[in-house]
Amino acid sequence: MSAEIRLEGVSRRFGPGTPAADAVDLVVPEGSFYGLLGPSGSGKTTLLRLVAGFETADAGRILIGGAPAEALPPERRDLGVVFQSYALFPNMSVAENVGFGLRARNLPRRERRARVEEALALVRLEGLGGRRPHALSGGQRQRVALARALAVRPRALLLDEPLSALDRALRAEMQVELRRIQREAGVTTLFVTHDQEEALTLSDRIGLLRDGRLVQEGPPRDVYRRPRTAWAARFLGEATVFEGTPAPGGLTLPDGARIRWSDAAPGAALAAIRPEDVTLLRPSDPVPDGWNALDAELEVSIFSGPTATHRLRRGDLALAALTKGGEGPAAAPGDRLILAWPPERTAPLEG
Amino acid sequence: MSGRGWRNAGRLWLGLVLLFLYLPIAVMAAMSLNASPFYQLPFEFSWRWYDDLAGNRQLQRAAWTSIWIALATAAIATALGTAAAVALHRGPRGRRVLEALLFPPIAVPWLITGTAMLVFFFLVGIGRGNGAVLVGHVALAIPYVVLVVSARLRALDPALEEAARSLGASRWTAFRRVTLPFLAPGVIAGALFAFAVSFDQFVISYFLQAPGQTTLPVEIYAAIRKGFTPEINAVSTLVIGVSMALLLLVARLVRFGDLR
Repeated sequence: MSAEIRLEGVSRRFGPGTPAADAVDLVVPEGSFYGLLGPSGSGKTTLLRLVAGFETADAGRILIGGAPAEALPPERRDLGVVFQSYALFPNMSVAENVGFGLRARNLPRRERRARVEEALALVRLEGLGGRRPHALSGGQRQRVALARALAVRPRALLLDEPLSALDRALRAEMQVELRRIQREAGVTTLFVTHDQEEALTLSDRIGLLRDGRLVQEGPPRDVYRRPRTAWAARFLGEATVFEGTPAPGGLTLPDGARIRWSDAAPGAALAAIRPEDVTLLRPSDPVPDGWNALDAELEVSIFSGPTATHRLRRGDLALAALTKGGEGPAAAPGDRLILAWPPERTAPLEG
Repeated sequence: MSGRGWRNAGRLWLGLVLLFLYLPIAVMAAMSLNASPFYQLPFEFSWRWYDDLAGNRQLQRAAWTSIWIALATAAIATALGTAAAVALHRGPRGRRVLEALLFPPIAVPWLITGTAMLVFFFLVGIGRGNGAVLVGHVALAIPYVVLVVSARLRALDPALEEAARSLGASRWTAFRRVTLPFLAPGVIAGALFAFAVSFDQFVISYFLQAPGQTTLPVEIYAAIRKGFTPEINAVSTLVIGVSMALLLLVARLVRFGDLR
């Protein structure tokens, strides 16, 4: 039975300095995929370990399926954990690894065998049960770790950077696989990663963690489109951040230019835009009605196949624009261009 | 000198070192197979001294005493040493001090350790005898076991035990089914080490033995004092064979431990 995970005011401190978890409130709805994203040292792994029961919280409550779990040892929390190192038992075959949790639950041999087969089929490793972990490829080990965690039909799945040890191509493939397997198993999943693209790709909801605090959360699209702070905007991808003075419906840059947004955000003095939302125009091109427009000097254009990134400068302000690889106005470094974007693409930020 | 010249010089040097280490042993082994009791040459092959050995009840009894004490030492020191290594690995307060305290006993001269043990055992009433020898050997062997098992523990992924716990295994089950099998090469190497430490031990045994009960090294020493016979060459050759086989096995297991 899949279950909701709920953290209420969870704190954990490992000595002086920044706490690893600072009054974190977080809900992973039943059956959903929650991506916990943060730079290294932000406390994301600590949160996962607190849920798993490998660490004890200094304060706060951890509820799994509505029931308090703080007092339960890890073996009684009924969770599946996939570790960054996979932690496959080297002295056991693949089938013994996958069957470990079933044996610990004293299931009869026949049922154990059936459940191991089922779990291996789910991760598409049928017939590899007799292998030893060291005879498997990285991607296969990852799947065994997943099958082992799922074979016990846990109430929730906890994934600690499970893809970070894989190379790029395999990683992209496993992202798709991971999501398929999670949907098929219908299991509540808490996923920890430092890779923003991975979190955006996989998650139903993401939470941004910084210095032990959950600074923003929501569906990936919302958090990406409407970051709340400059830090969140930059951490989730590339962003141009404007700093100015509040003005009605937008802000005024120090050089007098106006940036407008469509949100109701009175008093905001910071705003961000994404490079892919910007259209590059020649000074002679007409700017669509109601759009923001800023002129800037092109510094460099970097062509990378499907896309090209353009870096521009306006006084002290560095700006970026992303176009399709073969598009955009023909321009050379030093040329003046207009960056234009609709006001609803401007994200006002908190200070 | 060219690079190759240096390499050859290095090889020659290594050869000389090994010759220095093994020549006396090789000569002794050869003489144990020489018919002459006075080391006369030419060499004349004979099993004579080994035949004599087969009839020497006293040496045999000493050998059995040595073997059972070594086996018991291996069993007890391995259990205690492994537990100590695991406890140290869990990182208790003062771990560094505890770890550091394990090494001096290896460096203290056996003569001193033996004297200290004799005095202490006399005070607490253990006295002398095979029991005292066993306790002494266990104390000597424990640091070696801790060292070897600790090396293996450092290669242990802490996530292994956590994975087992998260899958529903209790602390003890996780240790028994995951950690212990991983430690096995280190534990076996530690046991062999402990056996060798005990089997080869002379000074402590000499100090702690009751009159009439002797271990093999002590018996060999006594035999030499009485008058040297090539029979001693034969028994020494056997002892060296056993010890070297054990330590080669240790070397192999410890190396395996690093690889996996």
